[in-house]
Amino acid sequence: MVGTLALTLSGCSSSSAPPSRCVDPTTLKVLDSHSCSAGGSGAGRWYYCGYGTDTVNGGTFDKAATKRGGFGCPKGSSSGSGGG
Amino acid sequence: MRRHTITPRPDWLATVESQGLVYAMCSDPCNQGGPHPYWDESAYYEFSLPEVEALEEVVEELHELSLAAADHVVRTGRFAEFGITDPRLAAVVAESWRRRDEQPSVYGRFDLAYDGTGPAKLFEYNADTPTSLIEAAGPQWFWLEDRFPDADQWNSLHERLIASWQRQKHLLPPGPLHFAHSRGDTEGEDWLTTLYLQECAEQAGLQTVGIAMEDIGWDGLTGRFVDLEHRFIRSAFKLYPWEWLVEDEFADQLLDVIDLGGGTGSTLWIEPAWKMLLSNKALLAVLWELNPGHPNLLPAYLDGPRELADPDGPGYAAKPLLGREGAGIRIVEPDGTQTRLADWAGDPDRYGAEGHCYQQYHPLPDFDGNRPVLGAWVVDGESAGLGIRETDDSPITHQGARFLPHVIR
Repeated sequence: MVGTLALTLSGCSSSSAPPSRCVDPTTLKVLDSHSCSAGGSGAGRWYYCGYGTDTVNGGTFDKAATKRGGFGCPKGSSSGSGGG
Repeated sequence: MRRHTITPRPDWLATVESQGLVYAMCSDPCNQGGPHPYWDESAYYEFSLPEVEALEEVVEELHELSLAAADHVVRTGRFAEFGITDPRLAAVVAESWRRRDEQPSVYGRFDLAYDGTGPAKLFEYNADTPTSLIEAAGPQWFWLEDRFPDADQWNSLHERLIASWQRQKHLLPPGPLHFAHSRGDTEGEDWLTTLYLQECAEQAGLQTVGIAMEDIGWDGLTGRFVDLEHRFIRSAFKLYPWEWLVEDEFADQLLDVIDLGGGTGSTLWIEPAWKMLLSNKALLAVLWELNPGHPNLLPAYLDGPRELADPDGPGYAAKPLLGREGAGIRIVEPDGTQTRLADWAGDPDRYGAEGHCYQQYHPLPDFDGNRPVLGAWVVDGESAGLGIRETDDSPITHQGARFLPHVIR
């Protein structure tokens, strides 16, 4: 639990990779940053946080695009899900 | 089968808590939340080896019959009788069943009525999110070693759980296996049960990550479920029932990207979706229809209690198809007497809108006022152990039941 909590609090600071990289949104392969820039090919999309050299993982294209809370209980409510 | 009273170990609470049973003493739902010993070693049950060997055969046969019933439901498309009316969900469940060899399935628990004199009778199959696992697997075994080191126990849960993950790990997609519990359970039982299964998977050599269901994210750009580190969740064990998953806000996304084995999607869920057909009281009626008169089954129907309600009949228990912990069950005896759980058990109507199964009333055995139900475990399709929960205040086993250990000798 401590580990989970630490990860929750650390946000993107656990990554030593650049905070944003241009990647192919389908394969997550790192592209030249021109692929993401205005006037470039437009094939790439900026990817934030995460890790990996040739292929990225553990990050997000847009933090605002990640929605949470779509499973489970609203905060403060209570009802076990196990048992039967 | 006999029940014996015994003086508990003086340090029993600290002992079982140190073995992972942090909910050994929990808040009593029947007593305004006062302290309630869930782990109860002031008594234990004794079985003979022939009794257990016979029960093991019953369990494995019931599991096979349940699989045959699921196959029947898929082939005949009787999903609506299970409350599955969304054609898209029905298609997912059917495909999950057809590809069942490609999706890991770990465990389930039959609840059986048995008193040592007649055949065990099936009450229900908790095949999706069974709990009371830790106490059955660990503290019960350590209790045996402390108190009756020369006796045996119906218990190979821990070894079988590890072996099950080992046997099925080739079915998992790349990346860590996530273990998800819901924060809705404030007693800690769900979280600890999930942690225990996670530990078994780690011991089987799997890389794992724990997460709360509430923290699972949906990345709208990649169209993938992600964890708190934004890693894709390629596979997840969830202690969270399928009928809730498919009603939650993320249900559409879940069905959009579900992996039914072989990389057919981006998130594979364990237990798999076909378990919806086993962990539903409608299974009881299908089992009886396909195996009428089977000694380990009780007559059960979906369209009403039929002859069970006759004045000279046996009476019946009306069970909500998706009820949990005894909630919503109504026992109707031949004289018309009705029994439900008391008010403390919560709104009796919170389950049942999805329909009911009407099963012949079969009273729990009575050992000096104590009414045990046998929780017989199945791991990887085989009989794996026993946990006994007991009530003394209700003919319906409920969330205030106590767990008692057992021996074979």
